[in-house]
Order: sequence, then C-alpha cells, then structure tokens
Amino acid sequence: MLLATDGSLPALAATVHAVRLARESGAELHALHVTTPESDLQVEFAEPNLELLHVRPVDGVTAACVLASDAGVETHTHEAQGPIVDSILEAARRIDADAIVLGQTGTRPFPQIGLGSVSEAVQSRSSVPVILVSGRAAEVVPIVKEIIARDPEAMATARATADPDVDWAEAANDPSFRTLVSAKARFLVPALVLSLGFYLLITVLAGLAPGFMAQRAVGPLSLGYLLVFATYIMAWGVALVYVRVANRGFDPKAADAVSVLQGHQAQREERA
Amino acid sequence: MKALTIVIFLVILGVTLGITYWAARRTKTTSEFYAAGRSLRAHENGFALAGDWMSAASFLGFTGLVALYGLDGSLYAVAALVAFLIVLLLIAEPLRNTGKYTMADVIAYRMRRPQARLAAVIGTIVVNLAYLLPQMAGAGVLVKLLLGIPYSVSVVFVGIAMILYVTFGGMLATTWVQIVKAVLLMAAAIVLLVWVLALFRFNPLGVFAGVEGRYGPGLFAPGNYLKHPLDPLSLGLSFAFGMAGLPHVMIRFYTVPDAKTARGSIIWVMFLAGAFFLITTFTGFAATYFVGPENILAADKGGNLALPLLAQYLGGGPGSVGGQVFLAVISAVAFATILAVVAALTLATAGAIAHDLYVNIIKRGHVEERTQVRVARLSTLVIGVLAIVLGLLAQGLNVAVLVILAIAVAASSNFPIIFLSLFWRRFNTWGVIGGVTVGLISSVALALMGPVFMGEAAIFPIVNPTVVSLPLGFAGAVLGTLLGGHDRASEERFDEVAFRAHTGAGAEV
Repeated sequence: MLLATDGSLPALAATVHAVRLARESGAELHALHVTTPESDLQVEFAEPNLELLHVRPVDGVTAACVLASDAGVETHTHEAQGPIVDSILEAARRIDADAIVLGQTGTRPFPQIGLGSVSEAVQSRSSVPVILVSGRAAEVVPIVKEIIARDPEAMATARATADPDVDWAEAANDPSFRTLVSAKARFLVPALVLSLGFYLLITVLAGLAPGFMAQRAVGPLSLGYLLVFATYIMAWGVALVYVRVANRGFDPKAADAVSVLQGHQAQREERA
Repeated sequence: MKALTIVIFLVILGVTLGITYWAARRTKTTSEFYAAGRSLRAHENGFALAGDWMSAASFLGFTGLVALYGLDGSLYAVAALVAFLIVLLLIAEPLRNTGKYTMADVIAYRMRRPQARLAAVIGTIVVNLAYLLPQMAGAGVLVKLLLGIPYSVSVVFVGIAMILYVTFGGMLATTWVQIVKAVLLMAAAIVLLVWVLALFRFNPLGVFAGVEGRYGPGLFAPGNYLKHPLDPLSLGLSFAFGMAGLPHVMIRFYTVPDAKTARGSIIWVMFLAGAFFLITTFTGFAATYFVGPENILAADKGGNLALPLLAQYLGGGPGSVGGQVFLAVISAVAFATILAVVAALTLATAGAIAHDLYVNIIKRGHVEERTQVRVARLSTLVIGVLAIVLGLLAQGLNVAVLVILAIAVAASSNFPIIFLSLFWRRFNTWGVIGGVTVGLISSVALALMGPVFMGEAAIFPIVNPTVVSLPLGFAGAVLGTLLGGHDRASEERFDEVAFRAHTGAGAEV
C-alpha cells in the first residue's frame, strides 16, 4: 500500500486511514514524500493551516512511521524528486502497490485555478485503486499533537528502522570514506602506540627497575621524575598535533565522504 | 574562625543554588535535562570536564600522595592526563557522533536488543555508585572536620544540595557548578604554587633540592607507595582506559554541538587538568618540606589533609588569622569540589535509569517527551536518596577499595564494550554481555582479594586489579561474540556506525 504524504492536514488524515487499513488487511505500508519545486509552496500552505489549529507542522513520512510502528504495521519510506503525480505513479509501479492512499484536495495549492488537483490526476491515471481521504481536522489534530508530543527519539528510531533507502555498505566502502579511515589509522595507530607505550614503559620501569629510575638525572631530579615531566610534554604535544591534523586533514575528508553519500542518495532518487 | 569557614561554605552553597535556579528555567526538554541542549562551547565543556576529573580525590589525594610517597604520587597524577589523550584519540568524537544521552546509547546504537543496553546500564550503575560512595563519605568527614557538624548530618546536607542541583537544573546546572568549582580550584592551586615557588626564589628545582636536603632522595625513587612490581603498570592501565569508561565523563561530550567542539573541549581539559596535576607535585613536596610527613600522617593516615595543612602553614601557621583564613578557603573549595562531582555522578546514574532502563528497555522508546523529563527528575531523587543512605552506611568503613573499583570496572568492563562496538564488525550482543560480566566480576573479585581490602593477608598481591581484569574483560567480550554466532543485523549496522562515527553524518543535534 503506497501512502503519499507531505505532512499537510489532508495527508495526515490519509496517514491515519492508511495505517488503519494496513493493520486490518495485514499490508505493508510504503510512505512516500515527493520533493518538487512546488513543494516549497505547499509547505507555506500547509504550515499556517496547521498553525491555525495550534499545531506545529510535522514531517509526513516520520509521522507515518510513528503511527505505523504503534499499530505494528511494517513500514518502508521513500523519497522522490520531480513532478508529484508522475513520482507517485512511478513509486506505486516500483513497489508493486495494491492501492494508493492520498489526502483529498491534493497537494497542489491552486486546484481552483485550473491546475487540477494531484489526487484527481493520480486517480485518473493510476492502474490500481486510489483511496482518497478527506481531512477532518477534528479527527486528525489530536493525533498530530500526540505525535509531536512524542519523544523526538522515538520518531527518529521509527524513521531509522524503516529507512531502507540509505545504502550504508556502499557509503562505507566508497573511496572517499576509505581515504578518511586510512588517513585516521595512519595517524592514530602510531600516535597511540608511541604515547601509550612511552607512558606504560615508565610504569613498567618504576615497578621492575626502581634503582634505574631512582638515579640522579638533572640536579636533584631523578630519572623517574624527568620521565614523568616528559610525559606531560608528550601528552600535550600529541594532543595539539592531533587537533591540527584532525581540523585540517580529517574534517575535510569527512565532509567529502558525507557529500558523496548525499550524491548517491540524489542519484538513486533520480533513477527512481 | 569557625564562623568564617561557615560563611565561605554558605557563599558557595548560595552561588551554586543561584546557578540552579537560573538553569532550572532553561531546562524543560529531555535534551536540555541530560545534555544542556547540546549548546555548550568548547571552553565551557572543557572547564566542566576538568571539574569532573579534579575531584576531591585528586585535589586532596594527589597532593597527599606526593607529600608522603613522592614519585609514586606523581605517577598517579600524570596517569590522569594520559587518560585524556586516549579519550581524545579514540572515544570522544565517535561517542559524540553516535550517542544521545548515556553511555549505553553508543552500545544500543549497534546492538538493538535490550539485553545489550541492559548490560551497559549495569556497568554504568556499578561504576557510578562505586565512585559516588567515597565522595559522600569524604564530604561527611571533611565537613565534620571543619565545622564540627556530625558525619550523618553533613552527608544528608550534601545529598540534599546535590538533589536540588540535578533535579531542577539538570545538565546545565551540573555543568556550571563544575565550572565554578574548576575555576576556584585552579585559582587556589595557582595561588599556592606561586606562593610556594616564591619561597624557593622561583626555582622549581629548589623545591626538590629542599626536600632532598631534609629527607634525602628517597622520595624521588619509585616503590614508596606502589610496592608490587606490577602496581605502577596496573595503575597506569586502569587510569588510561578507565577514563574512557567513566559514564559521568562520557556524557559531557553530548553537551556540545558537534565532534569538533568535543575535540576542542579535550584540549581545554588537558591543559587545565594537566597543569593542575603537575602543580600537585610541587604543592605536595612543599607540604613535605614545610609541614613534614609526620604531621601530615598525624592529621590523616591517607595524607588527604596535606594541602589544607600547607595552606594553614603558608597563612602563618595554626592559630594565626592568616592560617585560619587559608585553611577555611581551601577546605571550602574542596567542599565545592565534592558537591559538583556528586551532582555529575547522580545525573549520569539518573540517565541510565530513566533514559536507558525505563524509556528504552521497559517502554521501548514509546514515552512522551514530558513524561521523560518527569521520569528523569524522579530517578534523580531516588538516586540522591540512595546515595544519602549508602553514605550513612559507609561511615567508618574502608571506602578506599571503592575508589579503585570504580576506575578498574570502568577500564575492564565499560571500555572494552565501547571500544569494540565502535571498531569491531563482528561484535554482537553476546560480546557485550560477556565483556560486562567477565570485566565486572573479575575486577570486583580481585579488588576484594587485594591488599586494600584484606591488608597483609591479601590473596591477590596487586592493589589495582586492572592489569589482569582489563585483558579478561576484552577476552570475555571476544569470547561472547564468537560463541554467540554471527549477528547479521549487528554486522550490517557496523557500516552505518563506522560511517556516522567518523563523519558525524546524522549525529544528534
């Protein structure tokens, strides 16, 4: 069952309905959010609409995840970019949906001036049944409020467990990330072995060769004290070098790896 | 003069309660309660971290150890600095990138089974209580000594103050109480250092020459305190790896906005706390030189009063006005130190109970935001009352073994499971359970069989069990993993954990 949602009031009403249907029929729920140039407009329209009812806007896909996980319905999430109607139909084909659930009045802001509503367009072009749900504020607002009051973590977890779209194995094996990991290993392994080894060697010498550590080194200072003071210099020095290397070397590489991940995501969505 | 001491105590109490009132109005959400809204800057968190680590044990303890045992005490102090290097290089940034409110979050991020989180919760609670109890007992002894108030009254008093800080002000109040205390402590240490150096014509080696002239070079050799040949190594291992397993230190990294700030805050703590530990070597020897080991031992067998006695001497000696004022100031700073550290420990424990146990294990994450904060405050109250009761029961008991236990369990049980969660693909829930079980049992058993608890009749000759229990903890974690078989879900999630830990993608904000 495919649910198209943008977090607007009608879409949330559709979500509530879709979750109920999925639970009763034992279907899987696929929540889809479509980003288009038009969706900027939608947000502007969706928000005041909800705010009039003293409710903060919510992320539609996350809301679907939370409601579905409460009801014990298996959820998958999808993001798509492009024209809304085409994206919804394409996603329905891809997941082999048995039904599409939409909020009525559509997700396009100006049905009345002839652009036609999304819901109507989907309904006329879809080969599978389309269920239109009309938004009744009285029914939806308490549920939205409950979702918002919920711990953000529960929402994040619901989202993460239902988010098959990020291919972490691909991200972790990408050259951009491998470069970061090997650069870190090249610095961290020797730095740790040397600094920890230096300090632990002192403790071993103190235990096993006390006479050696007790001999005079500089003025009244014993060799032991000289090495203890050297440990302070060593620890401060390694820490400063690490911060410099991390700021200049690791951080840019990490940023590269993240942008490659985002690039892959965008490509996947385009293909979809 | 007792009036002056009381006034200084009350000023510190007033300032910290004022901070709590200010912080309480900014603490409404769960993230604000546990992590100060992740809004702290590097130097703020750095001072607070320094505060966490400059506990009364290090402020009074290190000075006393140097004064009585010389080089062995300085080995103790420098261990604490090396520990932060490990935290900086290995733990802090991955922790910030993958965790949320508690130590167990990092484990649970990979192992989604409740048993893994439960094992981490047990590690957290044991370490925190073992750390908390000696602080409560120390506060009782200190206040009794300085104000003549009975032990039980002062334990209750400290407990109530700490409950107020944490319940109402959450992490924000805890942080600022730590910052105030760290500034006081640094100021006191620097004043004492400059004063001492002035007496030796600003020649640092003069302090050593002076001690050598009076007591010979024996204090500059190892073996005065750490008798067994493996004692120094075991101590070094437990400090270096134990720090990376102390829950109340780790949750500090959640209070900053990103991994880069976490990194910056460690630089702050390494220079602040490091300088402080270095200073204890000089103030310690100054105490030896001016006060004398026999007087230090007479005042307290553990040497814990070496620093207050030095302050009293520098102020003009016992009976003089300056001596009394100095003594009062140093003691009040030590009192502030204890208050701040018990608050941090209570917050870390409350997080383990409210966030890990109640919200995530019992309720599986389905708890409303408002309820979460209420549960967190409630568990703070429970922990606080528990700490008071345990503190009262601990009167007259040998709590020194607990200090060793806290850091040894952190190194042997908590460090291996955090390290392996972040860096080993095969690691699974059984590995977490194996690591915690073996690390915990071996360090507790060996500490109880050791010289601190059993004295001359000790079965296990090394004071700190870490040299044995740390390898055992790792072995338990590896063995549990291999016996538990492949956990595909956990192995697949390793890619995600590694990517997020090293890049910060999708970190909590």
